[in-house]
Amino acid sequence: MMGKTGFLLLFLCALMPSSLCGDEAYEKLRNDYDSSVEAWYASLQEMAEQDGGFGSSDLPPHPAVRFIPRFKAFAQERAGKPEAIPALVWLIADATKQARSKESAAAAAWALDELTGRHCAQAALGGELPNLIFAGSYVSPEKLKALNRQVLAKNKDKTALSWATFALGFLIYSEGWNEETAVKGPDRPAKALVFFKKTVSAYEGTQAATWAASFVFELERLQVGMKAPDIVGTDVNEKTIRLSDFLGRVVVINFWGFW
Amino acid sequence: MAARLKDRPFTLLGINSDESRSALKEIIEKEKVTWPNIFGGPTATNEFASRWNVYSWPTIYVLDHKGVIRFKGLRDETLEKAVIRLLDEMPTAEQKSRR
Repeated sequence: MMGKTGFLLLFLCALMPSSLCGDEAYEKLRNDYDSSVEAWYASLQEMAEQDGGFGSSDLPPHPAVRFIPRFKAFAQERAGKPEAIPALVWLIADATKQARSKESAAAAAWALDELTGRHCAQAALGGELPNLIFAGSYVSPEKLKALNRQVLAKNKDKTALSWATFALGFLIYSEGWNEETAVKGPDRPAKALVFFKKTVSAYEGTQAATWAASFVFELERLQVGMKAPDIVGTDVNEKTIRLSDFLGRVVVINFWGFW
Repeated sequence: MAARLKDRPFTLLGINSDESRSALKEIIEKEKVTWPNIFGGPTATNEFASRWNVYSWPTIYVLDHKGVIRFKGLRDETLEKAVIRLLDEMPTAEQKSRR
């Protein structure tokens, strides 16, 4: 499950416009953190070159560990103000992923309560919500759902509403990934579909609607037992290839890349 | 796998998301890729991947001879076993002519 989430995060980072803007104080904190991460990677690189490998026990801790109190203090100083939002989101989405400790989990849970309790009506939350979509592995998915429900109830910002609707669909959709905690039953995809369809129809033109449309297509057309929709494309020599060319044969479709 | 099953009615169809056609061409030559590949372009803008809601690579779908999706997300040995099972399910030429 984590592997898949990791990929998702990478993909998300590649697509997201930078949502961290406006607050210079936050930018400074964030820059401090980013350069510490860079230095940390460089030190790992150095260790690898010196020892030809890592001793598993003596890895220096990720800088997120010591930055958690700083981000938390930053958010506390701005409690309830929109300026606190990026730091709270960092505590949930970034810190927990890197630090994976009891402290980071507690800070993330606190930050999520703050967002739900004090910030759910603020327009500034809109641009940050997509950073929380995949945070279900770091904080309670039920509490994430509660945040998004609060946003739907109290926020007026279109971006915020579109992401909250998408996130509710995605949180239900991804409940099937972890086999241990998977919510079984045929109605799970149907419930997710309701939110994805709502995102597409109510928030046309938003990034969330574009993403949701792909999920609608997957849930309606790409389930086991369904006839696969045709794919028409060209190969390296511009020759047309259709999936339907291979009817009558067993076909494995492999979405791949060699990076 | 494509090589092992080359005498059976099986196709491995790649939907590739490398940078460019020339990059893919190079890989095909270097890695001796024999199976057909549709070029879709880099992941973030790959129209096929985005239509099929692919957000992790590789993503694998298995279709039977009627074009019906039968499995998703299988890898390695399980994938090959599933394909062989579907191949064995197919009516043979003899059965077809009897109908």
